[in-house]
Amino acid sequence: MSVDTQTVTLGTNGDFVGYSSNSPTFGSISDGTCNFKSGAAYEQLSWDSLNKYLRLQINSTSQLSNAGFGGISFPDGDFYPRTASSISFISAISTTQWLWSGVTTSPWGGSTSGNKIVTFADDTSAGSYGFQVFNSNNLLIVDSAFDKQASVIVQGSTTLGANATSGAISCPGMTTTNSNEVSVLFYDEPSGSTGTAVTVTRGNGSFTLTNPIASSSTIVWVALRY
Amino acid sequence: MTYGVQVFNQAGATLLDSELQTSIQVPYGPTSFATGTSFTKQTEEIILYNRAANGVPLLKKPFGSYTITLGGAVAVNRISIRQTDEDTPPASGTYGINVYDAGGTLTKTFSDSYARAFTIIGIFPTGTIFNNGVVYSGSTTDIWVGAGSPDWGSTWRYNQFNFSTTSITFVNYVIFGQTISLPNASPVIVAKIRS
Repeated sequence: MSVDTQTVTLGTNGDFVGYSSNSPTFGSISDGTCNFKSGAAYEQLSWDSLNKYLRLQINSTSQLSNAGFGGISFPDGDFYPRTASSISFISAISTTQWLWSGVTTSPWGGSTSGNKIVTFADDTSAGSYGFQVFNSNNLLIVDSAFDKQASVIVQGSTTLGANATSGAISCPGMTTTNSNEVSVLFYDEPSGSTGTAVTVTRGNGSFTLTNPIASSSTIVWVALRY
Repeated sequence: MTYGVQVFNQAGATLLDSELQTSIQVPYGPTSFATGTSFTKQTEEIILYNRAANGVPLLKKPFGSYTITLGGAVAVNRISIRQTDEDTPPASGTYGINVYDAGGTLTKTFSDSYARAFTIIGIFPTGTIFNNGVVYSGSTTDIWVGAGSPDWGSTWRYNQFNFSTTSITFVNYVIFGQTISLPNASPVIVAKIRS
């Protein structure tokens, strides 16, 4: 479960991309206060492209605990669990640091500028519902709490006469409005120029297809939950 | 349920049900798709594309045909996504979960040999994106896109994409004296392959 959300305006310093309020400063963060550490200031959230580190620093006078912090989710869906990081206190700059090693691709999706919204999970969410799969480097590769698990609900082939509409095709889970969760895609359809789009009319638990052209067509389709 | 796995969220909504849903995954690839070549996809298979060079790869898949050709001068990478019970999965997966039904059919897989790679970022339903519309912004290294039956000619581009290292835009227009932007006649899918 999300415990904090921050907007990071990306900046750069050498190999670092993200935000840091410690000198040399780069980027910025809003609102910048950590909900799960009593409003302490975020001091750095950056990716080191040279050494492949993801680094989170929160202001403190002694080492903070891991309590309340389960991990960070980035806009592209990558989730970095706190359990895969190492924690340390850096007295010279009064900060507690969580460091993820082996982060070979940018959590910022390769961007070096612009705004990115990151979400911090609490330390109970990972174990509450769903499942996670890690690879041999202990990197999270599947997380049902964050990844959209694409699944085929039903697929098939429908032959329709000129401008004809099919009967209801059963699709458990579809509603008239949840196109952001259940969508019908086509393996083959007469799309192309204007006026050739197959019409998908959504229902609750089913949908119909309408042939857009004035001749018989076989439409090969798949309904996905994603 | 007799066999399989179900996962619900706190509100009781179904996140996963192996009796109702079958995994759709990336069984192989990526594959380089060179200009001037073609391949034949399986009937029930979606092909997604990823930047190999900047520009617009000129893809063509006629309705009723499953052969896809690449014209022009811009190469691209391609992958297939399809149901996991449509073919033989990769031979070895070190980590993960496979779920079978009573008949021995693999209905869900979370094997790191292919489940790790594939997350759908979004789908643009028909009629929601126009020519030059931004499909994805950010590094395109791991980003894959596809849309129905692509076609092109001297005065039209349908269901095509313009790739750069930092963005992917949709290309869908016809020229009648001037360039006329068209809405997408087929859903546009955007996916990420975890590397």
